Amino acid sequence: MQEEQIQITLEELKKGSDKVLRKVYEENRDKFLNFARRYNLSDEEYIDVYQDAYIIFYDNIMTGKIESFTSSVSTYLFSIGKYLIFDRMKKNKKKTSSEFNLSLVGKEDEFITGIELNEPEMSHEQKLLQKYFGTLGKQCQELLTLFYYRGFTIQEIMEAENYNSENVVKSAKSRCMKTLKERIQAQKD
Amino acid sequence: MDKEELLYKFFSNQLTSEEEKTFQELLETDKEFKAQFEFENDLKRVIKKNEKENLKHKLIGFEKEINAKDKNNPSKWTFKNWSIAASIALLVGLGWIAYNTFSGPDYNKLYATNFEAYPNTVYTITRSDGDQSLERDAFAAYEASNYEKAVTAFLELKIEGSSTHTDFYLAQSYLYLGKDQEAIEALKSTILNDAEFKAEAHWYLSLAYLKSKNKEKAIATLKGLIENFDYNKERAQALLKALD
Repeated sequence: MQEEQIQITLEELKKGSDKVLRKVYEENRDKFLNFARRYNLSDEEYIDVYQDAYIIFYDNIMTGKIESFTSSVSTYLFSIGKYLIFDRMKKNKKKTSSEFNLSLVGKEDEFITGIELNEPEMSHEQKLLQKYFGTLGKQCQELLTLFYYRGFTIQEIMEAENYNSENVVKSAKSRCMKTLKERIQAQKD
Repeated sequence: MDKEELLYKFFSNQLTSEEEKTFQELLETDKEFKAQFEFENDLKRVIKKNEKENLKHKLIGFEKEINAKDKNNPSKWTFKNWSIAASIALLVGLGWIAYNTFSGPDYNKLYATNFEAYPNTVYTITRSDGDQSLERDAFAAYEASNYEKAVTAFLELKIEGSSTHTDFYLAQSYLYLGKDQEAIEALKSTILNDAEFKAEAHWYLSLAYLKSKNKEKAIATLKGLIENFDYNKERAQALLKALD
């Protein structure tokens, strides 16, 4: 029963439902705070870490790193949270109240290895892209996000966004990319 | 296959190993192809960053609403509400307490306000692992709130002696089942043997004493927690005040 519930939630999270997003956030918040208080950070920092852990968790679902699991969502959040807290404490140079022990996180969570704790600085090209991506129409932004971030295939985009055919999606995507390139080029010239 | 199709397949993770080879070759030999690949790869990164930032804003919004709700909803007893309520109760209750010294604090209520079971942070249960160990069974039962089963499994684990945090989670399960004395013993053992959960065990031991109406020991344990650890310090101080 419970396993099924988790699966459904994952599916719904993947669909991008705000309601589920919020439900899962609230359901695990107090548990996470209760667990995090063993480390010597302020309450605001705990919330901040919880949110960052949640974002990484969500990102892992979106990018397909987590496809299915039967462990509770909270367990995943704790695993990620521990790394984030550890990283933050290193920066704060604070001492841990209980000995920080990575062995507790242990062998089980291999997806942790893919986490980028500190994202590398964006290149000049990427900053330009970010700027002009924001100027694209909503439909373009959505289409490109579905394809490059959510991992939708052209066919899935067609179904989700009510396009008439795959070709329509393809040409819409090409047009969006072309506009984006032109706008960046215009800035350079 | 044309280059566009190749890029499309790459970004949808659909390249066959044959195509993968062509893809790599083109990256090395075809400048235009490489530039297009880098453009799309950069775009992917930018979108990911945007999505993460959007999500962060959303979560900050949730957090604001949660805080607003807590303030407007006194029936949900958070720590903050509790400490305010405790000071009010202290003032209002002084006269009343004068002729009602026999009943003392409401231990059950204090316990219910403060008890929150400690989550499984030890053992990740995934579907893919074929690990059918006792430890897995124990934590699976614990996560599924099946505490009777969890107790049985943790007790067996204890006999086996292979897992380090058994006592702590055994105690949690006992607390849930209302078996305070058993919980107290398991927590004492945690304090002696499990450095990792020493602070947490103090907190739960004080709650277990509270539940069994052993005020003196509850106070002593809380003081020990506050003096030696940081875990739940503020809540421990508030609880201590409420008990005095």
